[in-house]
Amino acid sequence: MPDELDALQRFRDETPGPSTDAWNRARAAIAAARAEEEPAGRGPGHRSPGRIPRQRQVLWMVTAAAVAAAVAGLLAVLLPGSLASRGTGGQIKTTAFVTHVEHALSELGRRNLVGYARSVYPPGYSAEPVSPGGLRVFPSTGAGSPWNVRYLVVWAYQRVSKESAYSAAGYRVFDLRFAPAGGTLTSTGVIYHSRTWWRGAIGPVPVQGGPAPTQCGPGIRLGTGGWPTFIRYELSCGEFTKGGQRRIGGIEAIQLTRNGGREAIWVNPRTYLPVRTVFAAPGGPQLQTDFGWFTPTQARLAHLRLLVPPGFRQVAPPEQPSGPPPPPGR
Amino acid sequence: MLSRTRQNSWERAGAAEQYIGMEGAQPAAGSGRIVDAADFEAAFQQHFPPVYRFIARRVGPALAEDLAAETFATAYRRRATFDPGRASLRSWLYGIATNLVRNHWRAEQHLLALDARLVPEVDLSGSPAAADERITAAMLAPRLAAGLAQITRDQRDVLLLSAWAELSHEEIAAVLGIAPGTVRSRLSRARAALREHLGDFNFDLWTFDGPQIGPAREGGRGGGWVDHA
Repeated sequence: MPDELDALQRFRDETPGPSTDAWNRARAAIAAARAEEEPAGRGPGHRSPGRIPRQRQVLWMVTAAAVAAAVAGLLAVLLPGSLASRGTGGQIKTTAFVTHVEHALSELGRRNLVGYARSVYPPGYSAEPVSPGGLRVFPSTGAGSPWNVRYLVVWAYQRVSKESAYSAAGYRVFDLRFAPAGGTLTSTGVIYHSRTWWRGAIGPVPVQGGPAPTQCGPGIRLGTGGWPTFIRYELSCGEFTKGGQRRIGGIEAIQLTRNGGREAIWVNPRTYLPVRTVFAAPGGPQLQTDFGWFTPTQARLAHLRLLVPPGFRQVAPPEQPSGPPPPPGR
Repeated sequence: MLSRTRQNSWERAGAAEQYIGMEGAQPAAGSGRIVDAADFEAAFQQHFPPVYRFIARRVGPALAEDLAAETFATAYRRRATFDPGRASLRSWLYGIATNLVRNHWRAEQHLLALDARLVPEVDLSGSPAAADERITAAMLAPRLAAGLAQITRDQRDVLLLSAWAELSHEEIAAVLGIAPGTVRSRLSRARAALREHLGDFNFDLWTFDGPQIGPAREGGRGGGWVDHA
């Protein structure tokens, strides 16, 4: 005989299943959880089953973004007219966003916080280090490409940052670590599918800070003052439109949009720091980056270490491929 | 206490790895441990859709995306503590989801308040019987929402884990950390409150006895309609 439980089962029975975005968010969250507990330098075959990571105490307050690389990499893919969108493969010069990273790090250094960012790449894209400081993001030619990347996790503290790329299944594709050494910005790469690693020099360590933004418009230009200055400046020009409010990671974040809503930044209204960014191409894929800011602990700083797994062979760092120049501003 | 718990978790994890490593002995997702990455992925594939829907029914799809993601990230972090001898995997996951949803009580209340005020649009296409069914469901929705909004959060957790997640009393007791008798009493009170809000709904005829729905009232479920299909 039917009863109130039967009635309840029909209530909101039309609720649809998870969207692709919901799946992606969950995969990204799991990948981030995996990254949190995986000791630096361990490869995709490593198991660490017994470790119970301490619950993260997310400070979701301050900071600047060391995620510039992830965001810039995404933008190169998504912005109309980029080389990637024309199908030739988007060359991203990291110099620009290494500078961003450095600026972000200076901001982090002042606040003595560890920055964390997790980006979800659109399905079917690859990312490949093509020079000590260069990352090429391009549509994958096949599902079996060893460079298929779904998630990019960035940890940064003061002047050091590390990027870890993961496949859709959560396996690590590559690690890149950037750190100054004697006035030179160096990078170390570990490529897991080829079991190789390299070390290379990018150039002089960029001067920290930089000019404050003086021109409104698309893109992210983090100068002195980092994200708060950038966001306030863009708001002052009317570049951003305030949208709704939403609780993300425990913060009542305010949505700021521009470019017809294709660029959205969820901001902590207390700090003017990003909680989440979402960039979308017209009718195309979108990139979501979630930010976190933490007090430095040994466990968190361990994410910045990069240990080359035993048996990996050292090779020369990749060289820039000959080809069309990168899009302006990259 | 903490160190003991951790130590036990280590031991369990070690045993699980050994077990999973035995060829042909890998437990199916949903019944075994999820320490290994492949097992966790299988569990994720199997359980993410129903867990997501459970959350979405409670707090709406927008918030559900975040909470469902956090449910599985939390499950991943705590996977070494999952003991299939104590609870099924699905009930363990629903327990994590329920704890997360509890932090969004206001959002859930807001959604229920909206549902209580609005009668959903009804699709009248298809056979009259089907349309009649949808009309009845639409009329039920506001009352169910009002009833859910009125019961305590403890009662609601138990009720929805029973009705939507279809967990047994014992499973609900395990995931909420309460006694099975407490589950039964909370469920009983919640159902009674819900029945009160449903008022004159006739479960035998699956329609309201009152004057709200004329055609269906005349002949029971779809009795007043002529099916031309």
